[in-house]
Amino acid sequence: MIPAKVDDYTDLQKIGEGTYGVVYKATKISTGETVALKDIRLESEDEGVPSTAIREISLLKDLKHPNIVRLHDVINSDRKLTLVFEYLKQDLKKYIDSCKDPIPTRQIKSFLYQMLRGVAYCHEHKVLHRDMKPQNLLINKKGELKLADFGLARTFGIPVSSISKEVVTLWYRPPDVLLGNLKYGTSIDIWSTGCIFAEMYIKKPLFRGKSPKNQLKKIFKKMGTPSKEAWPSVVKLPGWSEYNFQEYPGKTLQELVPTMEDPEGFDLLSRMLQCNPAKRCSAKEAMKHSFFNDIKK
Amino acid sequence: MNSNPLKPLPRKIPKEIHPKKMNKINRIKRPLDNITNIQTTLYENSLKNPRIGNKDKKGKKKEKKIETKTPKLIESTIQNNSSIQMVLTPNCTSTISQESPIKQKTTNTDPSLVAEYSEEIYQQFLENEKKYQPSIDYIEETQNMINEKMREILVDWLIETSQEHEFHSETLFLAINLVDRFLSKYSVSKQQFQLLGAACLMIASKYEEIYPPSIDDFVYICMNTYTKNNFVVCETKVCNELHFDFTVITPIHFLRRFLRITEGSDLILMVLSNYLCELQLLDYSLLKYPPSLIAAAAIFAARGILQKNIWDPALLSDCPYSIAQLRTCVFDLLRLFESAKNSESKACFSKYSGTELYNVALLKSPSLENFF
Repeated sequence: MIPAKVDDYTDLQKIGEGTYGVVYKATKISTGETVALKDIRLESEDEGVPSTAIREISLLKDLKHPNIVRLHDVINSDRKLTLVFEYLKQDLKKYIDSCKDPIPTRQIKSFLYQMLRGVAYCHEHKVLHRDMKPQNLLINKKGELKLADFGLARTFGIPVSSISKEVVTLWYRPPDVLLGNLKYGTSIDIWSTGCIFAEMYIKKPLFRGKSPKNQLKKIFKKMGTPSKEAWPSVVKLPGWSEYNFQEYPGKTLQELVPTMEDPEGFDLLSRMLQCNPAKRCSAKEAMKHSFFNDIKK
Repeated sequence: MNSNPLKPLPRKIPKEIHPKKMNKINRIKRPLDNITNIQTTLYENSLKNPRIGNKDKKGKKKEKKIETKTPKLIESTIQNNSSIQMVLTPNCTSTISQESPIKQKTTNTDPSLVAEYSEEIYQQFLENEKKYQPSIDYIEETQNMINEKMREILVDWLIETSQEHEFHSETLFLAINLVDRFLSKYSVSKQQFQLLGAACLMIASKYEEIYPPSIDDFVYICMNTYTKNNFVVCETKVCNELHFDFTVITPIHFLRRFLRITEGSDLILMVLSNYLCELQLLDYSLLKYPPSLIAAAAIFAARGILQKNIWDPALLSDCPYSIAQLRTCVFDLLRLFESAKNSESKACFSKYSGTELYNVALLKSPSLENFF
């Protein structure tokens, strides 16, 4: 393989700031293909290659799936690493914001199904994404959706040993992790996916907390404070006694997501938004749900 | 792709080294650069090192700190076993004591066990385990200055350094895999050999650890033999030459599953098979065995040492090997187990001779006849 060079690309246009540097849209000269270039600066006075980049690159190299953004190449030039990704025009956040009318149910179904398929593939490859949110889901004109930004992803052994709690953007972080559960597994990505599912209907994030405690309060107010009976191990989590939440009765999903009319949809959403991680469904189970009966798979 | 203000900031280790940490680093910093004189100075150094030299084989324990830490692999292996559960928070002081082997029935509802995907994951481990393995004769084929003994010394030092930083076992195994793979492609000078080892450990810790040490820590561990810039350059070189293929399957990945499968799994069996897997890292000639074979052989060898029914049918039917295929690897591990007692490479042996790990390294070797 001939090492790729930055010179292989032309028409660079800055399109955003990524986790560790600038992101450009560019054209590969030899093929005319549009790609996204993500720069990572390496300063010798700094820490070398960031651990997020080490994980993202090595994980994405092994993940090849239509619902996961493809990493074509890594270019290493002096003091800079450039990741070459397939280019997708929009992210789900911008798409949701740009829709004036409600998003058609068919479209939501299709996006959700693709999300779950990408997540299931990751989980089968012992990878937790850990940062599922609309900004990290890329879409194109064909209606394809792909998981991107694996900067926080990591592999898990079986079982998952204690891993970082500094994961998942607050609004999409599950209650067990907010309460200090360090032994989370694949269920972490399912909660986030459930939040995004609801968000596609209500067009704003379902739980918008300002701090971990406030985030939990928002969740419990809407979903009801979990009881010890429904979630016995919750009392062992450090945040449980520390925060000592009052017992909110919670609302129904119909009240929270009024525009979702489909009873099957409510059933699926309720399986994903379980406070108790052991009760949350898996991505594989969710894909089999009757909510998806009428879409092409 | 755009940055989000809510994204958690990357964790960084503070620039200044905490005095306590400094002590720790002081204890293990040890020059390997002078590898020309390796046969002499290094061994002297290692003997001078208080942590390495103090073997008391007669079983008389030096006063050790009472609180001990359970190695992370063992901790999670334990959590993994459905019949044994330990309530351990990360890095907490372990409550293992020999009197209370902590056996509690647990229901299998721990979400972190990801039971649903375990079969797929196991199959992928088997399919992919050979993808990122080193060449098995690189010392003869590629290296001009590095020999088996020097590799052993470097690995011993990496084991010790990982121990001191309480790295996960995965980190150590990955680091050594990276060293071997790099050496499979490029000849390295004696002067650069330790830098390569340390840089690979740094990459592995960035991949596996929640809080990887800073480059400054690594510079310090190597006693300022190399500059920060040396590390950055070496890291980039390793990343490039190995194409960032760091999602590597190691014996540890299989060991966890096999320990769950094997009959009569208990803490001592876990600790002992972990020990055998770690020992194996020291021996260049064992690179020929794939990770799954090493993990399975480690358990059978451990069963032999512990005088359990050696060829456990449950594990035999789960692992993809026959007794005939396993036997040579088991014998190699038993040979290492015995020779470790008198080896100059002490890091692994010392760790597993301690009471907190049930002195497994001091157990008597079984007669090989038992394995026929």
